Amino acid sequence: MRLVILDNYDLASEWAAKYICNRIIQFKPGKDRYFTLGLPTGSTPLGCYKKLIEYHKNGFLSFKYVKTFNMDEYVGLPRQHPESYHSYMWNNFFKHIDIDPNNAHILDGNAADLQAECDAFEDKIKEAGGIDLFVGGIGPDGHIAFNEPGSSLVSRTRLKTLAMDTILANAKYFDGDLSKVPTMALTVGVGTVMDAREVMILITGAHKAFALYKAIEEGVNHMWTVSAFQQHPRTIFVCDEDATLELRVKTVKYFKGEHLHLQSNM
Amino acid sequence: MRGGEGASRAPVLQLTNCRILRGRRLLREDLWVREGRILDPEKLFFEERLLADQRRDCGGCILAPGFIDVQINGGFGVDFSQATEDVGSGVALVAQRILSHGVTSFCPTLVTSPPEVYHKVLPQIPVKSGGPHGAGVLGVHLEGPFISREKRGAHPEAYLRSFEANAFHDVLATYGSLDNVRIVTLAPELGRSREVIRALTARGICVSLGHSVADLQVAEEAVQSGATFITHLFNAMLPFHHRDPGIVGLLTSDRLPPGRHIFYGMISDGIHTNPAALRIAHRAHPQEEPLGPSGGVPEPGCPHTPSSVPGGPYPPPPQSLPSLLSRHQDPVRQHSSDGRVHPAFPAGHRLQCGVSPGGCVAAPRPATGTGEAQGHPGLRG
Repeated sequence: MRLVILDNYDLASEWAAKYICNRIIQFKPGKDRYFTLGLPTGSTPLGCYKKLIEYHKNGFLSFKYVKTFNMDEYVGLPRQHPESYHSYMWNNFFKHIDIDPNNAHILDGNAADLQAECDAFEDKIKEAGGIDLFVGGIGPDGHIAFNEPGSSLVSRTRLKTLAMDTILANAKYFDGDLSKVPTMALTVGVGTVMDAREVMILITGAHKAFALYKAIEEGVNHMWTVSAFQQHPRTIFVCDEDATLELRVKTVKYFKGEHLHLQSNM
Repeated sequence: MRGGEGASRAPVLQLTNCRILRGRRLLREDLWVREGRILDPEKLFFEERLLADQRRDCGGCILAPGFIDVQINGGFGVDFSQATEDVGSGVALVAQRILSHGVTSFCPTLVTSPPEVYHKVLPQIPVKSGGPHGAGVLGVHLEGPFISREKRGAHPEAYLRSFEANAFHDVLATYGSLDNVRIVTLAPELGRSREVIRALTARGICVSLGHSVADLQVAEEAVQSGATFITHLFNAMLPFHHRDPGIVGLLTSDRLPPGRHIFYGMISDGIHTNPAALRIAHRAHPQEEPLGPSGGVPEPGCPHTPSSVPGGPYPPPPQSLPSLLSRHQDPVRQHSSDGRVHPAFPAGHRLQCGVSPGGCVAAPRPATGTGEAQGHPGLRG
């Protein structure tokens, strides 16, 4: 893996946004050649989305030939509910850029047949030629998307019941009222994300530090599903200093390249 | 730009770089319109899967619903209370000239007049949709003649009337036809007013209390009978008194029918009322925004034009709308309230999806009788 450590949240968001931007531009997308991007929600990627919007508005980056696939969506929440992931993506990203609405894919948590909806999502990814870059986050319980502890590391898009940790973490978006938080969601599987050609995980904040430790310094374990990416050929973890608080000094120094300075001084 | 199929579909227009009044705040948001109706862009994106066909940069301007003037007696040399052969031209002239002041609909107002004037003038002021030619005419506001002698203000004493004898029949005899009438201002202390209020309300006419010496109880009874508006709050009524707040007390009365809201106009030109009075009224009932009749606006809005009112010409209010706005601590709210906002609009009233933006953007307010969104701001019952 690559572990990229930035001083703070803003710098981490900017680094991630620049990486995505460069990937898209280098790919040279066009009419018959779409760049496929997997996208997360939540508070962590907000800074990154803001930066991407800035690059778009400055004319550096167009999403005209980009297809997006979001990781998840709540079940049973109306699409126009302010806390639905459709609303999140519209308000925080889609409405500010030039993506074709037909190319922005989000799971429908109100579909009549939820499993069929999930299967169709997998098919759409296949039709699009697979995902070039899947951007994700990590939950405090180490989950990727809504692949809660105990999820199969080869799972596909499906319906999942949310873990207590996740419901508690989400309560702040529902007026702190636990009874209002959805308890189920449709989510891409760990296997679905592992199929992407490249994966970038954004992890910021001290409250995610333990999960990051479990994900990269301990073994591959279905209780910390992000750990699956230890077996992916191209994964980048982008974090801020606070997220590294539970890591070994040796790990951090290695990835910051500090030991290399010693070499050049000799 | 277009994401979906069908070249024959009506184009979607996206107004960018603008601020819109929504949820009582000014937001930096684009406004999406198709065939004269405001769209929900999120719905457009996820359900219809469309992008805009055209974009227009608004240069940072505020896009607000058009103001509605519910009390304007004329302007630009026109006096609506004058019985001429061609009242229509006068109305059209005013309609056209008030557009540049942001007013997109209005109620031409007639002061206390003899029956002959009503019979001649009213049929000449039909309800009319607005457009580039001029603001829409929502219906006539009849201010008088069933008002208090003591509080007649500049209204001519000779033409004051009562409906004690035959209640609604007196009303009909005085005005002639009520077809084009939208608002009637009356004094509820007059005998049989409750009957009259009920009859007017049943016909979808908004009854407003004003030019009156009513105490709070009489005012409350009037509201219980169907009155929903107060004409130029504070002026031409008893002042607020701590033992009997009078009509002003309606703002905080607990004797109103459940769910009923009271709207009020105020002449907030700094002359007819002190800005502190406006703030008191607003703070007493922040859900209901005050509406300023045209008296608060420079040229077109003298409530009484010199020619119709004995006692001499009234000076035009000196303050311009921008300076009125800067006086108030909350300019966002005042954007919609100083400029004579329709009772069906709470301040910061919303640009609603599915609604024509041309000045009739009200979400229906149950109190004034649920106006439907398109072109019929909710004064109708």
